[in-house]
Amino acid sequence: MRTAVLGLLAIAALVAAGVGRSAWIPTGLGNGKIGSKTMAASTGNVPSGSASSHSVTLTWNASHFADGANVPSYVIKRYNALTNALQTTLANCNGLVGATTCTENSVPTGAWKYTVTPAAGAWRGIEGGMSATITVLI
Amino acid sequence: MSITRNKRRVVVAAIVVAAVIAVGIGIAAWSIGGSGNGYAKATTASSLTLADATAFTTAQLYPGATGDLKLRLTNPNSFPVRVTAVSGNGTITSDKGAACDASTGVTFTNQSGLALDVGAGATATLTVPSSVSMSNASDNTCQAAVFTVPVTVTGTSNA
Repeated sequence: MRTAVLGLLAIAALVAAGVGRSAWIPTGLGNGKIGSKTMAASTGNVPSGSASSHSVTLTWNASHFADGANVPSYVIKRYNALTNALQTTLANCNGLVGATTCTENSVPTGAWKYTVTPAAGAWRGIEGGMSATITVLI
Repeated sequence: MSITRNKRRVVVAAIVVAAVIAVGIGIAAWSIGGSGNGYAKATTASSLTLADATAFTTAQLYPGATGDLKLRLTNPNSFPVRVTAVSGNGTITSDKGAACDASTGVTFTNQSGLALDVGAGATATLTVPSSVSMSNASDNTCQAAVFTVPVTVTGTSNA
């Protein structure tokens, strides 16, 4: 009988302790913090390129965030080599380019220069210098 | 005679068991969230507090990336705590002003199943991994920012 009583007591104590422990629910209200990178001082590298018929293939070196990580994308701009007038960049090099090379298709006949700007979403770095003139023949 | 004594022992044992369970329920009823009220006859438990964790952040976010939320948490209680969940409870802002705040692109994903420990009476910097994301909607002025993420933390006694 004594053994049975002790057994009951032990079980009850364990159950009670378990219930009590699981019910402790501390809470707190406040703020967490997180930081963001910056490419504000990152300048695009001057691209090199060549034309094949009406396609122009560009390559450039990666740009970096301030912490040294590569930026995820770039904006490519094309200018008239004679007037420096900004042109509309065409398919495959328009929008955000997620690589360090692209081939712009259906480029009109003319003499063109290109620039590279580091980008991530709406974030922008500094537009780099112009490439050498790339001529697209008829 | 022997049967009567055994019956008495059973009754006594039942009373003791009931008393122990009652104590357990009493402990279970202690709450240290929000109100700070308790039904215990021992110490009153306290809420966890969160301090500025700016000094413990690193630059992680950019459009398309995720990062770790930093919490600077103090446990004023006399028992250790394990933080098991963190939930967002307000608008995320930055230290870059209105243009960034109008479109931070930053979102916090509620977390559960965590095991972030803070000792009794201790302050610790906790990392909630991969819980914050930044979309392409983030304004250009949000570069090099520190974002404030309002949260509720929930834990359990880790004694």
